[in-house]
Amino acid sequence: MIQLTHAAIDPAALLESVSDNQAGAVLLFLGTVREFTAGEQTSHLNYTAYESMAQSSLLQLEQEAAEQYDIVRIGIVHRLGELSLGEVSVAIAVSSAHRATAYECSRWLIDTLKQRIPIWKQEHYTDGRVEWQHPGMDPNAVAGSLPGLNQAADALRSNLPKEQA
Amino acid sequence: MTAAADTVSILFFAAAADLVGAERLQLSLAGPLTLAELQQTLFREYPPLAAQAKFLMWAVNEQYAAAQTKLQAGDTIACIPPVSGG
Repeated sequence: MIQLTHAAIDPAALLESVSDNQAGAVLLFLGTVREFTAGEQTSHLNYTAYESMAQSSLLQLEQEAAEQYDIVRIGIVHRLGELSLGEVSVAIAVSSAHRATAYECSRWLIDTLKQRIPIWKQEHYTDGRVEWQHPGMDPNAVAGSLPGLNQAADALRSNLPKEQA
Repeated sequence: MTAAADTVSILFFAAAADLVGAERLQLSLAGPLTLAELQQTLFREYPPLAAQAKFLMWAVNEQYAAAQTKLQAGDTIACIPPVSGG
């Protein structure tokens, strides 16, 4: 099961999807919505994705994991849309003959997913601030530019030949 | 929206969409064009996007692509700011 979903993730269904008599270990990782990050209080999150590419690159990730690790089955579900505190944003299940492989593969999957899959998290803080999470980028450079630059962009866009917004 | 035969679509996500003020643009290809040349055109039109250029990844038809990639009519190009799933 490799899936993007706007509905609540069902970890039991994901576990069921990787269960297999060849497996001696089944490992489940859940990423959940945390309330405090570096002293800032989150109210909720909003996840968005380049859905078609995210789906195909998750399948690619599954294939690469299967080539590197001696696993039996892999399941990955990522949630999109608005999430409340404590809700599950991502679930990864791995089954393998022995536990060491499941731990290694699960860790590789979540680390690589975070580096590569085109999904973005928008933090909504309790003080009303809204911030896209773009590791490495200065959030002020982006957040501080709005909305004035949007109007500038609109003006520029109207000058672009043969394009439609 | 149906893409005309001689155009490419450009998708923008998250903060990149905010910087450009659109999630999708359609541009006509005047002749052979590489991804790098398309990027330069976009950066000239959208200085706020240019300011973040070093952070951006680009995909052509749902695959991360190198700057020298040659674009074809009908291609979908995506401007991908640093990802933060998980």
